[in-house]
Amino acid sequence: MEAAIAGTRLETAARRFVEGVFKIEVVVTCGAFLLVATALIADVVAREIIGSGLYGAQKFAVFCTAVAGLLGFAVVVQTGGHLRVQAVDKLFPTAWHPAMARIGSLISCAICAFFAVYAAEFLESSIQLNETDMVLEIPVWPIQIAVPYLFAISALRYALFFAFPAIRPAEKEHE
Amino acid sequence: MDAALRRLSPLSSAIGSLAVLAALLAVMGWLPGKSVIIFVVIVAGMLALRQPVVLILAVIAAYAHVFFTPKTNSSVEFLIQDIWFVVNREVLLSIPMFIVAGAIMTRGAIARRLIDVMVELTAPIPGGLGVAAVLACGIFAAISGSSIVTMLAIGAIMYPAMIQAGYNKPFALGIIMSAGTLGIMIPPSIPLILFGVMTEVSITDLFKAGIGPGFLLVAVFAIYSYAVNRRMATRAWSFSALGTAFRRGIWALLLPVILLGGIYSGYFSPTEAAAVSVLYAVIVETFIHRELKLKDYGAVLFETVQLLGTLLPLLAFAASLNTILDYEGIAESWVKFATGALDNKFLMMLGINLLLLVVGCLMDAGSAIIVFSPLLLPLATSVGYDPVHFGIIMNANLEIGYLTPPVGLNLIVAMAAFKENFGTIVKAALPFVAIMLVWLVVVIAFPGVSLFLTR
Repeated sequence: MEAAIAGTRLETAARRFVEGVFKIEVVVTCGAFLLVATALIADVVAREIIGSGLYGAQKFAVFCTAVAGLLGFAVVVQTGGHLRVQAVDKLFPTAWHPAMARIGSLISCAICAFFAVYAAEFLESSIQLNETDMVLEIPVWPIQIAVPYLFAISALRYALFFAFPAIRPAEKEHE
Repeated sequence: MDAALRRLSPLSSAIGSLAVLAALLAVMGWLPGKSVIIFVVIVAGMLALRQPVVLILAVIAAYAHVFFTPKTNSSVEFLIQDIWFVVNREVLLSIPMFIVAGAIMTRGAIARRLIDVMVELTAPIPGGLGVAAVLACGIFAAISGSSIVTMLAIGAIMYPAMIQAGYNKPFALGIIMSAGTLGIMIPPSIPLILFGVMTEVSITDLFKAGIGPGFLLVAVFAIYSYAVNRRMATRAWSFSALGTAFRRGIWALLLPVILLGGIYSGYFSPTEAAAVSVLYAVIVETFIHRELKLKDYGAVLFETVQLLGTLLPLLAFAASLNTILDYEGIAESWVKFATGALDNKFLMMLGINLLLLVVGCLMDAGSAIIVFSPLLLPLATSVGYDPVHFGIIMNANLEIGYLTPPVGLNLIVAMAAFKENFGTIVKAALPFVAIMLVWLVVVIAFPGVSLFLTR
């Protein structure tokens, strides 16, 4: 009985965690995307009005797109929207599907964790080498944090989906 | 025997088919090496265990970096670096901007006003509503870049209108679903941008080349609509209604003119055109049509971020895989192998088309282009096809894939949007798939249809 109550509490905590992180990610990604649109539109408008585009606007937009797209990966994990060949499911009996989905979450977790390790090493070397963007002349590592982040948070999410299948999002219907 | 076959589960049928295929390859002496077999088993296992396409691609890319790199001695570190190099490219900027422009216009009044103009314009033609649906899809395609967006924006208004006007349901469903696919052929087209990014073919040339096949398909669908509905009642033009529709729809009609005119004249790059289309859509929907609220823009942003979060990582892994295959000369060997087995231009194109039609049944156009374009373009060019023409051929095949069961994207979305069962939807699509196959043959056989604006 106590174990069941503890399990429910853990599940609630896990749900709150993934949903809380999701809200922050949505704000950051949508904010980054707004900046992309603003920078590109300002660049075109400046070209029309003052005869030359805004220096660095496109590069700034590229960095914001990178943040929006890479963090967007984590957002899509939470909304169950990543493309999957769902036709393969029909090869297996329906009764197997929940177990297969759970094993699938575990495998996804392992894959993301594997890439998270390499992505962290990549970030570390970028910081050590003080890699700088040629156009904006700023260090790129604050943007590159998005790479290990997307893998690490996705690994954690998939681990929680494996542990608590009830919090796994319903998959979107696509191919 | 028949009963025994029926008892077979889909899984055992699939395993059996694979075993037969492996046996055939072994008999023909084409059985691949150990690392390739392990690779195929990993991919099949991941598909079975419900892995998303992006993670399967990530594992394939990592496997290629580690096991297929005797020349470059690559490793997973290079894959991560490639991800950064890909997302750090300005050429990608137009993709999210066209996505957001399409999302704004779907939620706003642009689609409805375009439809009003087309309905008034085609009123004296028998089957005019069908023709109006096709024309509206064609024009909306020229501002949205996406097939689903085009189908939903036009279909949500035209489908009930056609049913109410007495059109046959399968025809109404079929014309909306198939004309919706124009979104990925008539520029700007997100799959064409992806093709350009993956193969380094000029995106502007691809946009120019999409216009001929796109207009040809509009004409073919319009003629079919007339032929099927030639006994439907018509009404004469009402010049006052036509004038009102044009006055209300002028801002929507101007957008493709500005956008495509800007790109074709060289005044805008595709990225600038995308920025202009967003600005235009925001101004028109907020200050002229006044139908979009602040919360609608929130939903638009969220929709865009999700699409970007799906596409960008996929693009990054695929580009890394492409790079390593290129450096290791695997792409070159693949071309040599394929051209050695099939040196006939006709047979090569037939094989590529059959592959793409099957792929179109299983993957959406964007993912398919990301994965297959770097592998198939060298094959096509090795037998004399122009890279821009091949981009259009590939897009046309995948456009048909939006309508082919079991998993054509327009079929699935239409099933949900128009609340019809899958069988009805598939039957409705079949005549249009047949029409599009004939159109595909014309696009392949007559390169001028695609290339007349690029020469």
